[in-house]
Parts: sequence; C-alpha cells; structure tokens
Amino acid sequence: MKRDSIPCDVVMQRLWAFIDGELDAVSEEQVRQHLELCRQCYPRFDFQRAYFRLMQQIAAEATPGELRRRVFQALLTEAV
Amino acid sequence: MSLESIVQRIRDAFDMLNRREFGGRISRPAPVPRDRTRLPPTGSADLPVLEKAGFADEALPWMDAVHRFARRLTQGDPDQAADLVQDTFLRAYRSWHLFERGTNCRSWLFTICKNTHLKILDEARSRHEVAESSLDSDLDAMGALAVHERATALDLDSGLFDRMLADHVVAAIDALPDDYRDVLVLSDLGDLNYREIAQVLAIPAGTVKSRLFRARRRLQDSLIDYAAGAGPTRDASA
Repeated sequence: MKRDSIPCDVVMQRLWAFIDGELDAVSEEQVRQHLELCRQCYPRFDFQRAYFRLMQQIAAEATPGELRRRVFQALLTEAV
Repeated sequence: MSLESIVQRIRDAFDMLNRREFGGRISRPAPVPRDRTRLPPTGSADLPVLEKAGFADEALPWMDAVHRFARRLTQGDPDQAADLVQDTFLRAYRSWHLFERGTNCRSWLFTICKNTHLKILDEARSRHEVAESSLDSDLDAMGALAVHERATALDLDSGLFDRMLADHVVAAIDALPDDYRDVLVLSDLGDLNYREIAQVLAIPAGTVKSRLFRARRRLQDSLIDYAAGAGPTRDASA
C-alpha cells in the first residue's frame, strides 16, 4: 500500500457511494486504487458487486402485455 | 506519449500485478455501470398514437420501470400495482404540458407514481414511518463492511447472491419498511442517482444516502439470514 493512499475504513465508508458512481473524481480514484491493491477490501467490494448483479436481474422484469394494453386503451380513451 | 498509450501502460502494469499477486483473479474495480441515457429496450414498437406530442415516445417506454416501482410500492400486489401504473400514466398524460422537455422523464413518472400511491395510502391507512434519529450516512455506509463480515463469519461467500432466487429477494424487499424500500427500489432497481431520488421523494440528499445504506444493510442481512437458514427476516439496524 502506498503511503498516500486512504485507509481501509475510509474505503469501506465510501464503498457503496463508489459503486453507485456518486463519488467525486478524486475520491473515486482513491477508492479504485485502494481496491486494486488491498486483499482485505477487494473481497468486500466483490461481495457488494454480486449484490448489484442480483438487483439488475430482478430489475429486468417486464410489464405484462395485458397491463400494457390496458394502459394504452385508457390513454386512447383519454385522448378522444 | 499519447493518452491511449499511457492508459495501455497502466493496464499492463495492473495486469502484471494482478498475475503476480492475485493469480489473475482480479477484475478492475469500477462503479456498477449505470446507463442512464439508454431508452428501455421494450415497448417502443407497439406504442399507441396519442394526441399529446411526445408522450408516447418519451413517457410510455418507461412503463416497465414504473411497473417495477409500483409492484414494490404495493408490496407485490399485482392488481394494486396495475391500477397504480394506469393512474400514473393517466395523471402524467393529463399533466404532460407541465413536463419540462429535456429533463428526466423517468424521474418525473416515478414522482407521479409515488405521489399517487401516497394519496391512496393516506386515504386507506396511516403510513408507517421509520424513526430516523441520528441520520449519519457515513456511519450507515459501514453497513457494507458489517454485512460482509457477517457473511464471512457464517462461511457464506459472494456466490451467495448469485444463487439467490428472485422470488425470495422480492419478498425481502417488500418486507422492508416503506421509507427504506422506496429509496432502495428507486436506486437499486430503478437506477436513479441520489439527487434524482431526493427529487422524487422530496427528501434531502443526505437522507437518501442514509436510508439507502440502511435499506441495503437490512436487505442483505435478511438475504444472509435466509441463506444461513436462520429465518426470513431480522432487524439489522438495531
């Protein structure tokens, strides 16, 4: 670990904001560099990444066709 | 030296270190890519022709996203969710002249959806509010560490989330307190950023962060409990 790098607890404090893309450029780079080198923090990051993969799978659920048609019909009726 | 070659050198150095120290197991850390500009893939082919210009092209493609949000707001009740989706799009259509072109239409629809749902709730029952003493997003952010330590102590690795069944995760999201569930769904399923969520829910950005981090901790703890066979839910924030 480089001497000017941020400590593990700061990285953990920023981890979710890092994954969310909500850190400023400097903080984001600090976290990225730390994660690339830290054997302790990388598995924690990897664990969270798996959580976000899971959320993306769940987010892929589509609207049933029947409901789509129902909404379209309601809007068309409204438009007349 | 061109920027490209500098980037390549950095990549080479990383690859070398990765091979030497970690046996090549590490992929480069990066924020989860959030493609906020992409229009949703479904539903643009069969859109109806409506009188109000732009509504079919700009608002209707977000129906999947609004529907997912509505499903979680109504805690998975398909009929209530369907009514909420229809009400949301009807209200949006009637108010289309108020939508500022060029702003985020998805956020706007989520706001209408949320407010419509709140109105229904107010009429039906009093809303369960989460006690939010000592909001501190830095402290709450340490939940990321806490859940991992718990999972490790229980001998569960990151593969735990990859093996999780969608039905169970959805049930665990629905079991979250309303205020936590709203921010988590808007962020982790709806892909809004903190600022957009603050606008949709009309709460400060700091509150979004705190609630989101607490919600993630609760949800992940609940999934860990499930994986460990310790029961479906547990109050992790206490």
